[in-house]
This record gives sequence, structure tokens and C-alpha cells, in this order.
Amino acid sequence: MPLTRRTLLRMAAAAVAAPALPAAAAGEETRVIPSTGARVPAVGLGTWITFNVGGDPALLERCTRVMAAFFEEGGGVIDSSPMYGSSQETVGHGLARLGHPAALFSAEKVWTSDVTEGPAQIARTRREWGVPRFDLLQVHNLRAVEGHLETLFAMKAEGELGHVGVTTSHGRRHADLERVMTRRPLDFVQLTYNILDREAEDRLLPLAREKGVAVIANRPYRRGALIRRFAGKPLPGWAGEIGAETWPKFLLKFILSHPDITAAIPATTRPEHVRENKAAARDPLPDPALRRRMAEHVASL
Amino acid sequence: MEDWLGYSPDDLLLFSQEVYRRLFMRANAMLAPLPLLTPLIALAALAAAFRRRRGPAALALVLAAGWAGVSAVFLPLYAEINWAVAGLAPAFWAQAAALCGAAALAPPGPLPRPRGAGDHAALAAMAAALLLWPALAPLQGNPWAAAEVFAMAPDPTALATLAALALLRRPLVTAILGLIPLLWLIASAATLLILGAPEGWAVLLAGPALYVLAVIPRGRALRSPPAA
Repeated sequence: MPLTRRTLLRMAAAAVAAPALPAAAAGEETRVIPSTGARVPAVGLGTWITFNVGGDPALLERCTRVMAAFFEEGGGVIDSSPMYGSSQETVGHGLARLGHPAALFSAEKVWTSDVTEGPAQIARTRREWGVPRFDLLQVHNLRAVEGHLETLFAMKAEGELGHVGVTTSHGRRHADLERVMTRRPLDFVQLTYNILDREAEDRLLPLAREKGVAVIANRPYRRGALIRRFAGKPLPGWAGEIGAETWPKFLLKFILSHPDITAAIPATTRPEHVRENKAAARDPLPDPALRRRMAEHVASL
Repeated sequence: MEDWLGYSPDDLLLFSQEVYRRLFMRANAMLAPLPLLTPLIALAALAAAFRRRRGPAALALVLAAGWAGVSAVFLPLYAEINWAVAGLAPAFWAQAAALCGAAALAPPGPLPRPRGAGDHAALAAMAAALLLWPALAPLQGNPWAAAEVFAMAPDPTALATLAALALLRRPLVTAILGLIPLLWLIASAATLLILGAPEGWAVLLAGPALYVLAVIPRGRALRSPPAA
């Protein structure tokens, strides 16, 4: 990354005001957030659909067990949005039950076309989580992005927010995302990246590296579709070399091995899958040559 | 608007099929053992509608109670996971009120005896809504506690309403009273199909078919003499 004035300023700000993240679990790989120097575990937790359970007591308890396993394995990014039904309340329920573990990197979104509604929505979201502030707030799907970014940057300047980001998914609006990344000093972008959805490699991931923007990969399994698609198909014989003895680990290791990916946020309803996902970050990751072989193997199926 | 045009139906899915099925478990549990009785009450009201002078009014009141039950018990649970449903309660309460009005204004005399393929199709649809729909839960590997029953769940309530209206042979009345059930069934079918639930196809076909059956003129049948 070239040493620009913006980079120097960011490094100075990081030295003065970087939030102190807790130490990751032993052996857990963490990645640096370029703009602040903070570190975050490579495997986070998504909440789209899996945490939208309403007031169902049994499912709230199950989601809490998922979160408990997540924190036991080192914690990290928990990502949600007002768009995700009751997922925010579910996260807040779990955090309250677990005593608000320190190993949380809270990532939320602002999702409204009315820019003036943004602060109120963020305040409601914060109440749902029961946290004093968020580590990351993102403009969801670039909706009213310019107006909301003004709000978020102002919050960050006041110390009310750790990082500012934007999101997109399914490969949509990449041109718009590129424009925003070029023009605004974002800390994070969130986009879809997995072994079949690799469009971001062409321009967005190199741009993120150039600009010092952390990247969160959503839809690592295409909501489970990739796992179902490859279930029953043989893994390559060399998958064991990198500890990818299951398809979910194989698919997640591909994502995490890209040098410009900071974190991935798989969602799940099962604590054992949380542990498996976390293990994917601990074991050896494929080098570029092996990544090519992984992509070729999947393409051959 | 351009944001929504970019979404596919799968993107609009907010919840899993598991969470959706458990809504019916929770609704049934709230008023147990009433869910065991509501289909039977509706069947009894249907039988009375063909035999008793005020039978049709009683059937309309039972249907109204069904919509009220769905609005009071199921909709609030569904709204917890689907923000698009939050504004539907007024429409469902209006449907209940309209059916109460129909009961009050119904002329005395039982329904015409069923005749022709249309009436028999409506009767079959009513039986399916009241008796077959609850069995879909165990047939799909879900517990009986998750059964969708009349007056607890919106789909069988809407289907039973349209089936009853089809037996009425009053196109103008049924066109009005059948609109909300029809619109609900179309929306529900879309949700079920996105969830991958096979009964979505049955809902998608049965709803419009029953509405058409209810609103097309099929000739006014002679009323049977009122029962003593």
C-alpha cells in the first residue's frame, strides 16, 4: 500500500484512538483492519435468516447456544441489519444471556431510504443489541449511501462509532461500490465472495488493498446452497493437506486464503457448525497455487 | 424503488421454513385445545347452513370468528419475523366485520342444496381446508402440533371462506367478501413457493379457482324448504 497522506493520518489516528480488541483465542487467526490497526478474527457470524426467529423461546435459546460456541471459539464479527427481521433482537437476547462477552466485534447496518431516519434507526438498533456503541456500522446495500455516510463519519469523529463501511451482495452494484470506495475513506466494505462468486477479484479486492479498506465476505456458502450442491461429491485427495476434510471447510478456506479478505461471516443454526467454521481459519490455508487447484476442482464437478 | 427491482424473490425471503412451521405450533399452543375443535365447529356450521333457516348466518359468523382468531393470534406471531405482515391486521379484522355484516343481512333460509360440479368442487375444497390441511403437517414430517387449522391459520381460513362463498351463488356479495381471502392466498402461495413448501402450488391454484367459482354466475338454485 503506497504511503499517502491519508495513510499517515489513518496510522496516527489508529495509534491514538484504536479500540482495544480482546486477544483472540489461542491459535485463532486474526486479521488487521488497515485503517485503525485493530485486529479481528477471520471467521465471524452472520445472522441473515438464521437469527430471525421472533419470540420463539426454543429458537432463541438455540441461537444463544450458537453465539456461546462462537465466543468460546474466539468470537469476532457478528453482523446483522434492520432488514433481517428479528435478528437484531435475537443477537441482543444472546448477548444479554452471555453477559456481553468482550470478544465481540459488533457490525450493524443502516437500512432506510430516508437519511433523516438513519440516526433514529441506529439508536433503535443499539438498544436491541444492548451495546453502548458499534464497532462497525455499514450502509446496507448502498441505500441512500451518500447521506448515511455523512451520518456515520460524523459519529466516528465524535467517538460514537469504531468503523464506517458499506455493503452489497450477490454481485450487485459493484460499479457503485467501486465509486464509493474511490471517493470516501471507508474502513470496511462487505461484498459477496466465495469459490463461485469471484467477480470481486477483478477490481474491488485490489482496490480495497490499494485504499486500505478491510473486506468482509458475505454469502460464503450462498446460504448453504454451495454445501448442498457439493455434498456427496468427492473432495480432492490433497484437501487433507490443508485440513479441508469437509466441504464447508474447503469452501471457507478458499475465501479466507485470499490476501485481501479480512473476515467471512457464515451463518448457521448449529453450534457444531460454528466450531467447524472457526477451525477452517486455524488450520493451514492454501497458497495461490493450491487456490487455483481448488477452483479448478470445483469447476470440474 | 430501484433497490427493490434489483432483488430476486429469494432475496426477499426473511425466514426459514422451520421458523415458519413453528409459528403454527406456537399459535395452536396458545389456545389449546381449541385448535382441535375449530374445524369441527366449521363443519357443523356448514351442515347447518344447508338445513337451518339461520344456518347461512351462523356459517358467516363462524367464518368471521375464524378471521378474528387468525388476526388476534397468528398475525402477531408472524409479524415478529415478517415485517411485511405487520399492516395486515386491519384488513383481517375488516374481513371479520364484513362477514358479521353478511350474517346480519343474510335473508332467512338455508343454502340451496348443492348441485352441479361447481357446488361439489366447493364442498370438496371446504372439506380439504377443514380436514386435509391440518394433516399436511405430519405428512411433511412435522408434528401434529404444527397443524394449520381453521381459525388458527390463515390459509385454511381463507380457503374455507372462498369455498363457502362459492356455495352462496351471489356473485356480487362473494366478489367483495372474497377479495381479501384471494389476495392473502396469492401472497401466501408466493411465500410458500419461495420457502420450497409444495403446498404453495395448491394454494396458488385453489385460491383463484375458488374465487372465480364464487363470482361467475351459476344460476340461482331453488332453495329447499326451511327446516322446521
